[in-house]
Amino acid sequence: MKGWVGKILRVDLTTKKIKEEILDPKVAKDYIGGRGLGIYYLNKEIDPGTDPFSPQNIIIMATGPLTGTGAPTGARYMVMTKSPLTGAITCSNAGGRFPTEMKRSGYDAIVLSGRAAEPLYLYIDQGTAQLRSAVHLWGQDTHATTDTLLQETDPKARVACIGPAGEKLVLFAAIMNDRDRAAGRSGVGAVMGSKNLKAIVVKGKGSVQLADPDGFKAFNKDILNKYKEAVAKTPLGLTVNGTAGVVVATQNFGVLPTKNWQLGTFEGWQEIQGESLSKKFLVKNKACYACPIACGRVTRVTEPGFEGEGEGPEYETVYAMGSNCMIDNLAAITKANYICNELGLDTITMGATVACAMELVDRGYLSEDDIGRPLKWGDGEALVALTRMTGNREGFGDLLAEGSYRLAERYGHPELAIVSKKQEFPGYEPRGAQAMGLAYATSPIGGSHMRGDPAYFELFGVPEFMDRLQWKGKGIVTKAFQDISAIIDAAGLCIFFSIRNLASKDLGVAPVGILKYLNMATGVNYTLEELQKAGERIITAERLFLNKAGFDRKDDSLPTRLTEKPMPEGPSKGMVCHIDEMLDEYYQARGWTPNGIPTPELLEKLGLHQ
Amino acid sequence: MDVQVKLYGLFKKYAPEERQEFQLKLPPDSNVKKLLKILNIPFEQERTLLVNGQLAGLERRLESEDIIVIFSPMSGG
Ligand code: SF4
Repeated sequence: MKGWVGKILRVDLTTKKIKEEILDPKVAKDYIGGRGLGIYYLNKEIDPGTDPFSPQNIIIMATGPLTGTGAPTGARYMVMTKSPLTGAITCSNAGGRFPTEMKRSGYDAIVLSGRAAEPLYLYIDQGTAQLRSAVHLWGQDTHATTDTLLQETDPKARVACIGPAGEKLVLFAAIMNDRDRAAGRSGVGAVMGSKNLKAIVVKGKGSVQLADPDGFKAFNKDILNKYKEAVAKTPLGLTVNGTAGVVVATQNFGVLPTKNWQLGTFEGWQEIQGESLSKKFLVKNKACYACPIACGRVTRVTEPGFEGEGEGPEYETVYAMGSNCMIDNLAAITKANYICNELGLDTITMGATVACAMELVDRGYLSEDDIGRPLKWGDGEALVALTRMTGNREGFGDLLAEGSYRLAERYGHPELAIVSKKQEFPGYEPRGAQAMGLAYATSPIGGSHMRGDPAYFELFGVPEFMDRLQWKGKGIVTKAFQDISAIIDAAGLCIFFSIRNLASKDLGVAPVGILKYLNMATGVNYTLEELQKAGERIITAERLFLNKAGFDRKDDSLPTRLTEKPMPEGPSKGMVCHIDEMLDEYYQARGWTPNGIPTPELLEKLGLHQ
Repeated sequence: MDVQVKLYGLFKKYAPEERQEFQLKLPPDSNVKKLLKILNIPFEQERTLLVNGQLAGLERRLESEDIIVIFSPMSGG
């Protein structure tokens, strides 16, 4: 095979048996890779009712056919498993250098099953895999673990690992790779911890084989030249100020979630926006493999009490830990971000859970005695302290480690958890960006935008602006964006480059550039229609898993705060999110029933009938 | 009439004395085009322009006390 390596590695942690498997070329073509391969194996090999922490759950780490090829942002892999936070699937994606190295080590994907009797790590050295003891690493943070493993194996190897949060089954523990990149969401790190697997170390050689290397090179040059011309005219915000630059847009559109989603604008927004980060703490930009954008931020904080070095914060972190907690102290936010990276925690759920706790205290439902410290809106020191306690499950951190839904439910007010399918939202307020609400409600992982991001057409004007306050017509466009996101996620690309540069403006963001790359890499000659169908197939296959796990329309919902309480202030004032109207249109566009179940005709068309 | 103007990011350089938020006196019956001309912002410069939090084009008429925000198009997050 070309583009794909053509091999899968299976690791049974219970028996410590490791074996290689051929990647079926038909499965590869139908599911592309990454997210597609993940759902293919989940559907085939686990019962959707499985307890996420049981040995029967599996973890799939899958690269795509464009990972490591040199296609811009072809740097990524996807981690899929059954989520302990939501009970649905995870789709947690990361870049950096680990995914490319993993593919070069000889495998498109790794499938992990069972549970080890004692802590282990997996080392793959150019096609030879072995399990080694990780007893000496258990309890270590992600940075110490990475440093020790690089010494023990090869300084040129790449490491993905969990920190104490994953070991202690924090429901939103992350898998960190290359020190500070995160497959952050839905508790992938906790599932890895439940399997007693501390880390995966990969060392590769050579490069990914391409079907048409000359054509690929020429097309790549062309795409990169166009990109360079465009950014020479208008520098890209992502490069200049990182993702945190987006605060300027969300604040001024009135969709910057503030005070646990009670407000849409934040008085202290200037303090937490990307420009402040650049001015105060930026050391340098950092790029994932083959990425011309370099949105990553290497930062250093010297302010007393918050000293540290690392990467971040991203936009999602400054919303979740900043405006949402009314914290305008960027040093505290950045410090809490560092702690998340070191202990292995998702910054979104962490920040949103602290915000929820702040509201519970504010309304008198939770006493500060229970927490063991004061917890007022805006308290950056509390954020830092609680983040550390959560990662270690110390004191009140043990309750925060269950996420906002379980916390709010315990104190009798589940409506104060701003979640879908029990997962916390990224930082775009659906009352002022209607399709965003639909994306959160229908995402297979619960509150997320990265699996189909309406901010592009509602807030960024890509490919063009749609009225953010209008809900009619949003079902169809959101479906189109989810489909292309599935293709991007399966191919191994990053959404930040691909939507702008590899999709055509017409035909509902058709993935024309991705099609060209894929065909020259793999030689399988997808037609545009086949590729678009593959995107639909992935999303519908995910839905089948969710349906069998008991999810349907009732779970494609938003908190009443967003659907019944009009936004009290700012440029989105007076709006609620019209989720029900959008859902009807969306299911119809998808070929799902009004209850959110794929129809037999659709399954037939996609080759998914069982 | 008086409007409030907020220029962020790359657009800061068009602000009088580089103050990113300021009041501006406009002749009556002004539209967005007129405002850009007064501030010397080229029409072809890629931008996101909001009037009172909603997107607005060149022909949009401005009223007294409107808040106009201009920043570079963005993506990501
Ligand atoms: S845009 Fe950012 S996240 Fe995406 S590949 Fe580039 S550096 Fe990585």
